[in-house]
Amino acid sequence: MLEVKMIAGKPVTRTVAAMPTPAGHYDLIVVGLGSAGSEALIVAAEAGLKVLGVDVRAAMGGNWTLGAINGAPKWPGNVPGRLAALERAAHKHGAELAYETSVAAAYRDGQRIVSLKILRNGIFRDVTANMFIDATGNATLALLAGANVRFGRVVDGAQFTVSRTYYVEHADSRMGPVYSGKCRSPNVPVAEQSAFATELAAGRLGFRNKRRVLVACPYIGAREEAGVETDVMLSFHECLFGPRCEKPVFTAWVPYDIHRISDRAFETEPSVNWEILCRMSPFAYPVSVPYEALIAKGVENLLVPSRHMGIDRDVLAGLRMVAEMQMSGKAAAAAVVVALKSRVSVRDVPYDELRKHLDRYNLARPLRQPHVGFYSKNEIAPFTDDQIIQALKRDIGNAVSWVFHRTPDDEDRSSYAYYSCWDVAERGSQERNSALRSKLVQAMHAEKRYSANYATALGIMGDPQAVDVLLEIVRNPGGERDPLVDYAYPNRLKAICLLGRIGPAEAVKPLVDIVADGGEKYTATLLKAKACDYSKYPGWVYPFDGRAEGYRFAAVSLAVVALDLLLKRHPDPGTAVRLREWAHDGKTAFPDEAQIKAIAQRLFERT
Amino acid sequence: MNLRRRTFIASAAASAASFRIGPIWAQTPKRSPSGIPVVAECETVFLGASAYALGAALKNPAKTVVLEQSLMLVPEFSGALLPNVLTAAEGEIATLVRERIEKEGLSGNGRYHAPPVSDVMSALVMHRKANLFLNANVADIRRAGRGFAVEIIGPDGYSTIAAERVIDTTPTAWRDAGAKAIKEKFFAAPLVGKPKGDLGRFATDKREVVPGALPGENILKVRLAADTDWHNARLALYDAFEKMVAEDDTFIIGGEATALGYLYREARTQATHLPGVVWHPGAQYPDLMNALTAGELCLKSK
Repeated sequence: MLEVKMIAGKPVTRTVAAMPTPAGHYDLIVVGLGSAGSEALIVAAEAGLKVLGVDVRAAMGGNWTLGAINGAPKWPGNVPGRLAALERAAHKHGAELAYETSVAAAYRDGQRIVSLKILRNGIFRDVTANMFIDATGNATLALLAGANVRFGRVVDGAQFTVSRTYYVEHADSRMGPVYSGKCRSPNVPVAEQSAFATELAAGRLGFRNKRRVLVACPYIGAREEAGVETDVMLSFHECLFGPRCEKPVFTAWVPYDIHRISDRAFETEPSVNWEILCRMSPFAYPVSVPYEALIAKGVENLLVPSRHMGIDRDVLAGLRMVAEMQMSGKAAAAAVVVALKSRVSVRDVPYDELRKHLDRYNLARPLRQPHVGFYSKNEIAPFTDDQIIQALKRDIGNAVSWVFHRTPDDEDRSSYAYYSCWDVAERGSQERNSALRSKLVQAMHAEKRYSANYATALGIMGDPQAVDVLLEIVRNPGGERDPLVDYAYPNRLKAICLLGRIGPAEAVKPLVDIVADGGEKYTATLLKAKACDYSKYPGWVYPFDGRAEGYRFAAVSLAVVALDLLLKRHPDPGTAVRLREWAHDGKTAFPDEAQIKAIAQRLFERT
Repeated sequence: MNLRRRTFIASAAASAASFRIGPIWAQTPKRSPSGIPVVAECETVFLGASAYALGAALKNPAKTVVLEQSLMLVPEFSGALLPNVLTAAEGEIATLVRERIEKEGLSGNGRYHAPPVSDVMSALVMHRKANLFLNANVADIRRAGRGFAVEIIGPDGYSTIAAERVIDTTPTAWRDAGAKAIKEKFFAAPLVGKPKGDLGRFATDKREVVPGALPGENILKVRLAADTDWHNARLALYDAFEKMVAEDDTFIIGGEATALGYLYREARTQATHLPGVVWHPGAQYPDLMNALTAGELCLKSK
């Protein structure tokens, strides 16, 4: 028997002769009663299981209640209504609740969790169960159970942002959430992070502005904390281009919404394609989550719904909203119900039987459409080659974001054209791939005005025929090719990124020049671009809002990543040394350049 | 990159927000014999971020650490919504808090608007460089030499705070040792809408509607037995609300308190349940200013 405790952020295991005498035994213990866990608790209790729910907070619902996310009246029920409904449902079905309670230790017998030691106000209690659900979102129990867990993005462990909400009454007696002044990156020092609360206290929300704060939400919303390795991991790439899971536990239609804008260069290649090269922010994609994405790898009796389930970080960027988390919780509980009633392990749950339970909650409903489309209700059919060529024959638009502009327009058609090129490169037939490339090359040479657009499209397809035009952009940025734009990445930034992937050795020098002067010359003319009226969107901060730092950050970060790739293909010891010196020189040409240099130190160390 | 949970939390200050605020926290924690890192050493550790504890911590930031199980500061006055009477400030810290409340427009009718006061306090914690650990569940309090080792569980697991003395300001005391000192509890919720007439007509021996600080602000207060837990408190609140709304549906509940309220049997409650650990519940004070001032003075005699 192993006893596992978390000490200094690491599971620490010791062998014990026997587990402590339990104070209670349950069919299922749900740890974490947020959006996913509260639904799991109620579904399982409703099905007649003896269930214990454990949470460090004093209520169920997590972001949906204590975080007041989606608290506006258009959503079903207001916050107290939801709290009451959850509490009454738990009461009705006899679920036991342990609020303000932490998991102090887990006891494992082989690959099974057999018991938990829980703690409330200094009082420990040992509880056993046949099955466990970790719905904490931060893998608290999965770590104690010995599962592998990922934290943040690969390059530096950065997470998506956190935010805090006040629930307010407006002057007209409507209720609704008011988000904190701005979303903060969690990848900043703790002291600055705690200044988050200070900002709120500084009256940003306009206490004097006829608004009454009903609740300062006792929960800080996380978009990302940890990811558990599960039997099957669902990737963003697979969602876009892979075979779709035919036996999902739930389906969803999700945007890619990472709330981190300025340092997207450091995200994965699919993420960079979606966000930077294609600018797909008005779009969403279908997700079919397989049951195995809820089963913690290497543990026999642990399911892991909520935002730490088996999806990669890119999928998490969209599949993290309350509704989807609730679905994941219901699905996990349904699987536990079937497993216990059929007396099989969680891995042997028959899908047909599970499906009956899933359908009760309409979880595995048919997808709205089987391919990428607009996040809003407007449908779009896959483009033909001619539609792609036509859509790229235009200036890059002035789209702000799907958050505000949900009506698809011409700018979005060009986004979809870039995405279509990526799609063809990934899974198009050989014939279509060749035909589209040759049309793009032809258009690139014939339509000088839009040659950068065509070159970008070719670059997304990984076609080296784009290189000459891309090099030309990087050497002589600006002019008609970059009429640009707020929010979107102009071609000169995309060209940096693409040269990293397909560029020749000659691309190294212009990219080093961009890094060396902190992107100043390279982005100077962008500042003359038409500015968006951000006063319409108070509280939102964009990287490309006409300030030099935003463009410079993007140029330098993209160049660093591109140089890392280029130098792997075209080793150049002198340049590598120079870049290492730059990364360690301690100087900053613009705010936040230090963040780029910290990452560059790691990248160029191995280069 | 091989990130451990602690590295991650330290760099990311994760959402679950094991916020360690203040300068005292050890960069390279010492290890206790049990392998649990000693993350801070101080003269006095306060259990519970009550106004009493924060009064002391803001006055003596270099000597104190405050441990709070939730993410809220002064939950007995901000989260519980009541009592919300704004009395005169005597001490330095109370004066600072009062000034900030007034500056933010959070007061009126001799009362203050409670929910944002948690953030008013957090601003002062930052400003005064007080040391605070949120999301900290106290697992053990042990004698260690001439002082104490306070073992806590946060999102990164076990840690230890070494202190010369421990002052417990939580409402029921550690391990609920002070539960019997509680006479009754209450739970509150702000009401939203334009009710027909005076809501005072809904008062019974179990519930009442009391005024808030802002014009037209009403707060529903439900009286509860001393042993009521969160689950039953919530059920009682919504039952009371539904009875009211059956008579007048022009208002709704606009949220619920984020802390329970407490009334104690004795006017001045203080006890020693653990040798050397004083229990002095912060929730026993009738108002915020008094609690801050008492806290401010509490380390003077030590």
